[in-house]
Amino acid sequence: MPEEDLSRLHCRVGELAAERGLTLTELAERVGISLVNLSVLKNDRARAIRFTTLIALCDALGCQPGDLFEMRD
Amino acid sequence: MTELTMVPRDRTILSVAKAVAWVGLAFAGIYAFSGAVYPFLTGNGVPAQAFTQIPGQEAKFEGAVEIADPSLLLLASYLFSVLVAAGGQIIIMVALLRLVATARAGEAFLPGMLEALKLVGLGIVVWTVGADVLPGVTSAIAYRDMPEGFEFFATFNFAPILIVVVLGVIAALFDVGARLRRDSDGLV
Repeated sequence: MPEEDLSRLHCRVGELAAERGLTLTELAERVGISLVNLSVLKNDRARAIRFTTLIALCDALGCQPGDLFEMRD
Repeated sequence: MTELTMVPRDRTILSVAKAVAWVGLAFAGIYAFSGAVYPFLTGNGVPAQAFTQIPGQEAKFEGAVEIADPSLLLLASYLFSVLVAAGGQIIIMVALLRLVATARAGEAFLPGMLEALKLVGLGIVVWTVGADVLPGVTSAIAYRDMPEGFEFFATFNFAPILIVVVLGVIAALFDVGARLRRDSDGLV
């Protein structure tokens, strides 16, 4: 899949973390991934996400997987 | 990971590997130069490998004989074998330097690593031709000029073939590693 198509899938981890008053550093610690990888996710540069990471994100943010992602045109 | 983020042990290993490669290059140069000037400096003639036999005994021994006043063909064959063998060594050392450079970039499975391994295999093949095959050709050319008791001798060492096969397997495994790396690139 071309890289430009991947950017259509936006990860709302930054928005959700801000709503809950969490910094990315705090969120990365709670999720158990590096801040670098969380940034990759936040900036829509990730190409794949592990289910373990997804579950940990949903637990840390108190949300559903569908709340984390949105498709853009 | 880049060289800046490497642990000191890894940096030391890379530095030692680089030094080994440069020493190897120097030896290859010395080998080529000394081999090329040997017939002219010593005045003993062109060395050619040969079988020799002690009179009265059946056993034959691998040896060398120096052909004084060699023909142009014999001289060219000898010089060519020396240069090809040195060339093989140089190819291997250049490949080692490329391996070190790739490792310094911090990625073990870059395509550069694969190419460097292929280069090592090529260097071994070239070196084997220069060190094993061509001296046999030189011996065949020198045969009619050999003194009594010396015979043509050629040998072939199969160990380099095994080494090249193993290198091919390692290169294939690096290819797998590179593909796994591509697949997991950007995975969080």
